[in-house]
Amino acid sequence: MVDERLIEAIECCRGKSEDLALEEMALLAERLRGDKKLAEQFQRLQQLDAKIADAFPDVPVPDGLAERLVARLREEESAREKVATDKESSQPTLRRPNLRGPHRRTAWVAALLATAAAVLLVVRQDWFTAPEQPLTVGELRMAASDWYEPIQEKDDWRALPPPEGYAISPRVNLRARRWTHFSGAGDGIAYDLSPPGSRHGTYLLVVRSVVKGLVPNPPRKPLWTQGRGIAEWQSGELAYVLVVEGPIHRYRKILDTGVGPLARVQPRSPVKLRSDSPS
Amino acid sequence: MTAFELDAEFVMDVEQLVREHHAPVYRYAYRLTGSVPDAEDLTQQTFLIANQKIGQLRDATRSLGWLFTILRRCFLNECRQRVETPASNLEMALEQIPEEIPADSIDREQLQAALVSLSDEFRLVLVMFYFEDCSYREIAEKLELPIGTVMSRLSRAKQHLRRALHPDEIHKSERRAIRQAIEANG
Repeated sequence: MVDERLIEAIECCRGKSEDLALEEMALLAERLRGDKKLAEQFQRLQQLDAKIADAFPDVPVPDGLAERLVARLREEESAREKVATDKESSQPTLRRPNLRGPHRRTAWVAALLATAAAVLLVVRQDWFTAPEQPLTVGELRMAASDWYEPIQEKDDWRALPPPEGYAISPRVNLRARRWTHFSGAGDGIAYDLSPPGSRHGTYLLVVRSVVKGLVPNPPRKPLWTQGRGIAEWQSGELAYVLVVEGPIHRYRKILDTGVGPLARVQPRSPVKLRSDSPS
Repeated sequence: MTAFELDAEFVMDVEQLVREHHAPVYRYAYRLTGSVPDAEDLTQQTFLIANQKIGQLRDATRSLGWLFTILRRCFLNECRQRVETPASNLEMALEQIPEEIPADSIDREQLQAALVSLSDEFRLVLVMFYFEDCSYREIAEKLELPIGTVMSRLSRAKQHLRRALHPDEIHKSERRAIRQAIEANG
């Protein structure tokens, strides 16, 4: 009676691997040592397996397959972004209000009211020495929006290192290329984290301020608007605003959100900058 | 590897994966499905899912294996949704091993015909073994099956494949010789 375990072992074992040292191959290893004919047979089977393996990739690839796949992916991506945009249409966006036509008067009125409110606040603080009002998330986001909107025109980037005290959040898996001042919501720094060659920009604003209502971790789902994701969180005395351009999966890759599957990923080892000079 | 090279890979998008890996993914799909339209559908499905889950890809050097994993899961899901075709008659035996390994390459259509005559679970382990170069242990791990189950399936599937590739059974004497050698030493 043939031992079927031995047949299975012969069929499954790869001769050039470490398979023969495994427990379930002990019987086969022993037989091969003592049976020259079986060893020859085993070798021939290995050669035949290699021959068969060579034949497996011999499959012609249809013309234009890659282009069709890319086109389909872009369709899918557009559909997803449209759905995301539709869902967020009622939420505040990073787009600066259009100040032309009928909106101009409203904007002026709003600006006057804001100025009046600011004057009242200063007077109130003067008179009553009230404690400084913390920033709100909305104010922080608006300041970030104002800073971000002319991003392509910014020409005041500086070489690293930035001033001390504005560390990049360890939750962000990218390194800074350059920095600039950000003063829209108190003293702050804006980092350009865009990887070289990437068509999508990534920016992190760091503000030394405790912002009322900010969450302690980067949210799993950012505010998604105009083809970019915006997320804010607080860590100690620093508030962060991250702006990630491009498809939403970039956001998930760039951030460790501290909860869910991303949190189980081992932290990336520190990496060094190739160049600290501004581009 | 420097930081920026690492980061450049880190932000690799799915279109880059398509450009780099569409051919092996399609070939894998074709060997599993046996038809051009089905293979193309499975390939497309694989990359669409990859696009949704690309945040899980933490190591660009493993991207092809990651795509193969997605593809296998898609294939298995499809298998569960359709009526299972019965397995071919897979008798347990050491099968034909040619005395001389043929110099000619194995005909790809003949190979495919042999593959499609197998049921899905047997075909899958064969493709993983020959195409993906997985060991039986890796197959067991990836399919979450007991090692013994995989060894049994792989053994039977390989014998079936050789029988289909060598239908004239000219090597029966060789098979008998192996059996005799095993029995003599058993």
